[in-house]
Amino acid sequence: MPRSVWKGPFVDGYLLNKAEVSRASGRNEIIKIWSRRSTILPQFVGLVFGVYNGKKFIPVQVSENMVGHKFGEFSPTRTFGGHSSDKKAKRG
Amino acid sequence: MPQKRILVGEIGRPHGVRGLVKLRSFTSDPISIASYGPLTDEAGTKRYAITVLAEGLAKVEGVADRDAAAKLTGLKLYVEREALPPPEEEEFYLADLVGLAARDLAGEPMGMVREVEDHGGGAILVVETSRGEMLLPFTKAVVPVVDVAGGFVTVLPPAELLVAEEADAE
Repeated sequence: MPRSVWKGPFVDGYLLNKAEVSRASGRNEIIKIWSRRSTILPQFVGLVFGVYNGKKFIPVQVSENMVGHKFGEFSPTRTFGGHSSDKKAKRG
Repeated sequence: MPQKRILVGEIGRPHGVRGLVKLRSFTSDPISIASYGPLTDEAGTKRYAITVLAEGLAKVEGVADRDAAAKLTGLKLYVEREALPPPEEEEFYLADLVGLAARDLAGEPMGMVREVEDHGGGAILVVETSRGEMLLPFTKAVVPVVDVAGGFVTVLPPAELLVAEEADAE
């Protein structure tokens, strides 16, 4: 069941502060967070978060189409297995 | 120098009695496995022309019955790196990035790119250093130089990563 609209998206308060500080500093940094449950907000776009998966911080570059999803969706907790094959990576 | 071969698929068990096989394609578009020309085995000695019939099912040229198809079970299929189309600007094949040396801005060696992962939040370079692995976002700020021909990437790890790495080493 989806979350009620009147409540607004859930975000842990400290994330907003961290994002604000990071954006103001303008440094090339990874914002380490443990809050996998927080919703990605539009003000996070362009920042890089290190989302904890229980073992390490997985870098997540927030883009516009990630808004509305939760941080945890981009930081898998289980071992990833795959083949590189013909797959490509775009430098952000 | 031997040509680099890239693993693109694997033949599974036979399907039916007319020589069809199950095919596990590792390419980004499963159907495109046959579009890179003839596929080879790991050594590059034998060539296989494959026709993809439906997703997960294929016909190998010269294989007409189930017994012949069964002999191919578990065969890994490779394609020459040169057969892949050139990537667009700022795009890199993961296979090209894996194995590159990682250097800092001064040119000092830091480690080697062991893996490239993408979980939906942008590509991540897994760099193996002498002090453990380092996960770096594949951005211009963190990876300003990628020289595939030269065999190296220049990385500028954010301070938070270096601090964490030192803490892990202690």
